[in-house]
Amino acid sequence: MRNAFLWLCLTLAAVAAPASPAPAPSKIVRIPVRVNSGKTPDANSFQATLDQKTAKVVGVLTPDDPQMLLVVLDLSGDLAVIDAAKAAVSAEIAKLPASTYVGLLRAQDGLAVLVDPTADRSLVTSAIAGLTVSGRPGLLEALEPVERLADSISQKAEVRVGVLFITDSNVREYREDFTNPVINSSDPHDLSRRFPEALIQEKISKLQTLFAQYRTPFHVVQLANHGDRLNEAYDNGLRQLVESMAGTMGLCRSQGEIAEQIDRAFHAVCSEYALLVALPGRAKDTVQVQVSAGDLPLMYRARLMVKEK
Amino acid sequence: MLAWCAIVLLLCAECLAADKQPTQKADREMERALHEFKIETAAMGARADSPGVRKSRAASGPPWHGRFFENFRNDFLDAVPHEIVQRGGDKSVLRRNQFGLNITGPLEIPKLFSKRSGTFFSFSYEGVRERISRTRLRTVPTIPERTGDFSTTVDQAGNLLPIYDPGTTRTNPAFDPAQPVSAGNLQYSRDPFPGNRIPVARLNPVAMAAMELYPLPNTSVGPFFQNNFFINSPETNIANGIIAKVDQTIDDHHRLAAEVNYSNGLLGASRWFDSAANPGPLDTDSSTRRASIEHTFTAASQLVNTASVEASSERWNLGSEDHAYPVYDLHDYLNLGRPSPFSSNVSNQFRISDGTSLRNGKHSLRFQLFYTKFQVNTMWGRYPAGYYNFSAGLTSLPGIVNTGHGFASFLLGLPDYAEKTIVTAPSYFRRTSLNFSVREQYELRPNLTIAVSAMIARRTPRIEKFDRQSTVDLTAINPANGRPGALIAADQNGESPGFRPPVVRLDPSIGITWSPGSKSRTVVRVSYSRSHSPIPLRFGQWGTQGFNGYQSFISPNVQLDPAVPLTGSLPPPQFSLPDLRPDAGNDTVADLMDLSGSDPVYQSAQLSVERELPGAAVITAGGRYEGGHDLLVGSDAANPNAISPDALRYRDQLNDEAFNRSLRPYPQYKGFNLYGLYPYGKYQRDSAYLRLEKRVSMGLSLVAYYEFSKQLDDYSGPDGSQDFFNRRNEWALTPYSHPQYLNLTYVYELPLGPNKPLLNYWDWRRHLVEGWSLTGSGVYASGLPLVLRPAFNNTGNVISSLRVNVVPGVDPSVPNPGPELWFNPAAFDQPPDFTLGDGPRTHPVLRGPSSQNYDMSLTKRMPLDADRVLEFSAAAFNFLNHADWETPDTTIGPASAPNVNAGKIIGSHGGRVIQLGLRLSF
Repeated sequence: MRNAFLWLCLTLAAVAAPASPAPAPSKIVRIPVRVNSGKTPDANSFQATLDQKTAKVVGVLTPDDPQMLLVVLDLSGDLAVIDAAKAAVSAEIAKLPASTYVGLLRAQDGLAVLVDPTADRSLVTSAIAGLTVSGRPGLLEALEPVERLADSISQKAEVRVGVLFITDSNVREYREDFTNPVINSSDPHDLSRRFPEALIQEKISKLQTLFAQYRTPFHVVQLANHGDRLNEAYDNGLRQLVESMAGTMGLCRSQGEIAEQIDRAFHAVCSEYALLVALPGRAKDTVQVQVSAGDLPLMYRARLMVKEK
Repeated sequence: MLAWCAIVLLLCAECLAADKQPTQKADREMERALHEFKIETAAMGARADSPGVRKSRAASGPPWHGRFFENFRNDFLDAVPHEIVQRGGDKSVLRRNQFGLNITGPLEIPKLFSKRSGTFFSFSYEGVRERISRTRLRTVPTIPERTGDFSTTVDQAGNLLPIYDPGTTRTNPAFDPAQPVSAGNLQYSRDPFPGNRIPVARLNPVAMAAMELYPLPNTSVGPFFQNNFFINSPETNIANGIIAKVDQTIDDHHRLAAEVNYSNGLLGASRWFDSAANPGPLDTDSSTRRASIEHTFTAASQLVNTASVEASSERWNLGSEDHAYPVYDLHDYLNLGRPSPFSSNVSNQFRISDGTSLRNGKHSLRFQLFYTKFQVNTMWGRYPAGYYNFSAGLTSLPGIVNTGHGFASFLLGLPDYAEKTIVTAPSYFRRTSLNFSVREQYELRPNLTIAVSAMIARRTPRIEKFDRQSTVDLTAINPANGRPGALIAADQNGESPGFRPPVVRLDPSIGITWSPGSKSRTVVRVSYSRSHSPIPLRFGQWGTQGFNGYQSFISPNVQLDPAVPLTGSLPPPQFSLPDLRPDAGNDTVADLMDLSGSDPVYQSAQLSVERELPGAAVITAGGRYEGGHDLLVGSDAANPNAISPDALRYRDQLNDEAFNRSLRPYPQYKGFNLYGLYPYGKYQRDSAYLRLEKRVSMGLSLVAYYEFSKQLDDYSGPDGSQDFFNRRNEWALTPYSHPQYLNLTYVYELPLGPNKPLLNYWDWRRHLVEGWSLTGSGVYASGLPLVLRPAFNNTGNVISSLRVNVVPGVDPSVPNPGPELWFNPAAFDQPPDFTLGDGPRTHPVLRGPSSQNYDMSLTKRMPLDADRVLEFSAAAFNFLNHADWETPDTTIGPASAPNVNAGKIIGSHGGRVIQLGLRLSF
């Protein structure tokens, strides 16, 4: 009898305990959304349409939910700027809620993990403090793998994933040549270098095409203001890329702006929502997205690729 | 009882589960996310313990990036330039292909380098094949003039220009020395040639032989018979070059980078006319080489050291000995022959540098040390076949302007000056520079940084490897006349190899950056810097007189006697070389180095305020001051052997070379050649600017920049100084500085295609509509200050650059200036003989025509797959086919013979050029 009673209790307890969550169903699409004002929307107020058909919002991950934040450092220039950035990033990390796991990566000489995502702040900040400055800029090479990584995590786990790049990259310092330097100084009638931004525009355009398949917004803080035409085209290209992914870009014009721009970027990345929306029965490879939350202005990707990668 | 217990337990379990559910779920989800993070980063090769091969990249193709490209230009795409249309032409030859490639990626050599070794390379090649028209408008003698017939030759006013027979020169017994020379009081009289024709028997056979090599007129732009030879001749360019780079990351602390550049160029210059006497540019065979290695050592997160070694070389071989034809300088007409018809030059530079960056608290320190060695090896004879100057003086009525003609003097074989250069050996010039700089950037407050730097440089003077170097020392006594000024040679008689000691200079700078307020929308920048510029090594064998020969033949009186008869060759030198006597440079235009130790000093100060505006825009307003002194100038702007303008009172007596020379500070010299290396000039530039940057939104970004400036100096311009003794009076607007400048650049990614507002197609049509972008720039520059010059300079060789007189009360401006009349020439006048002009060196109000240029490029990118893109571009330079007016004629004649063309503009220039480009990127 006692055994029977215990078996009954255990059975009842097992039934009563929450079921372990199954992987996100394949017909559910995640739409990252950022509120473009200081107001906080009610999670239940989100509505979505996919290809102009109302789609059911089956779940909402809010800024109160856990987040995995991937901070990618691409630092190869002025020590003073880098030091200011390191201090600002460490300060922001210390302010993050306990539920946020921070992973630290480095973009120089290929993407490298410095610290796996962790809630241990001291681990991350000491890694930041000890980071050496060497190598060449790696932001453009790092964008795609980090996006792939973030999307992959989003598909496998029900956590918010945020991506933030901190860079001081100078387009002239990349290993890949975007400067189109004069090779034949004896050629007096060369007009091909009159538009020096052509190569970087092409690279950005290629990345934009590639990024059509990714969903995670990313944010960039450019620490250095190099001020020449080619670097302006580079910064504009990054901005274009970031905005096409519904992210933000901060450009520091002086060392005094670094802390503020990093603060804005952390705020933007931490305040992201993720809507889990059920796909209609027969969805196309890409769907047009519309999301609303009352009258609040929202930032999100207007078209998402939903075909399985 | 048992049932109750079961119910209670069940309720407890339910409560516990409800409390733990979110936390456990969140933890599980985070665990799952972490697991995925590790799997993915391992697959990417991004973890210390992950396999080295980046599987994902390997799967999508080789991790090399690069491009192949071809840029194509052909005259059938272009507008015929305006200057060619105006001369009746309809073609401007252009055939141009520019092609190349670039590959970048990890270096992989079996058994030597694997992809995991951290070695990256970049290789670029570019080739050019081009044939392009070059145009010029010049004046050559008319057909009658070539045979001595000047009966139709007119002056600038259209009046017959009388040619006098130098064989009939005689003193005028009625001359009154108390009165100035004039048509009514001639010191010497001459008879004009009958009918203004030189008899055939009097024509010099050498000059007539040269006429066989001189082209006939081929156009008649005018006025009168001027501007009658239009040159439209192609030049060819062949160039091949590579840049190869290797970048090795050894570990987290060490990185090596090496670079090699190599380029060869062959320029087949345009032929102004096809004969040995062609005065046009020279064929050029050039090459550049450069190699560098850089090591970066990151000792700690706050300490980085960079050391580098660099060597570069440039070689320029111009012309050939076949081009050595005597130079016949005909002044108003196109010359025959050209200076420096062949030369061989190499410039090498070797540099070792080391820099350390250190961060400590709020301090950022940067130390840098670099040592540079410069070498120039050059063989450059300026006039190896001789130079002959023909002026109007010998066929004029002595003392009377607007008589005689330089070409008539040539036909009679009467040069008033001749020169020959004899080069015996190349020169090997050397110079070194050792610099140490320190820069400290201190963070006073988070929003306020101050940067202070100082550089100490030790620079040695130019030396010649074999001490084959000389100059005139203005303090040494010349044994010929006991006056100061004698030739000295390097490393002889106690002289140092470089004549002047090494100099040590300190160059400071300071900069402040301040972001006031908490929102940091505004950035204020203030800076000041001061720097010394070294005296460069140049190609050419200036400063080797005595080792190389400078024969000079000087007329005793440029109105009466020729310097030497034109016989086809000049007399041999009287002394063999080397000739290092202290008086060896006497009676020549001697090379003079500045021995004071001065070098150019520049300073600048700047203030700018940058403000971020709504809509991703940034506006910057700023002001800048720049100035300098001891700037390097040539003989036009500095003349240590100048005669004071007070001597103009001697009037026509100054035409006597011996008397003229007696007035000079160093009478043993005809003049000094400063080679543009005399530290004497001064300048100041004040400017204010406004810059608006619209960062990209909706695909459009643009930058507009406007600058208003005023630049003054006492040395620049086409003519030089009037009064070397009154530099204040030379202070005037810089002739090449545009007072207003506006520049607009824009990039517009057209909003077409998927995810764009227009033509949002996702089917096959997306390939047509997406990937278009437009890039362009527009430049407007206001006109340059006008430089007015009188038609005649009758100052007895005292004033080399005479200015005009200003007519009081006459407005120099005209309403609605246009090509017919750009300014009012009646506001200016030719100064009377033997007086200075009272006008400014450059006019403070009158400006030349403004210039504009608009370029645009339309690009279509076609992705072939995830990694490859084909890009087509059509770039139009001066796409509006806008023509800029030429500069107006600023030569002012005397009231008796005004220049009918003064104030008018002859034609315009410019034309649209189109370049098509195709690039495959991968």
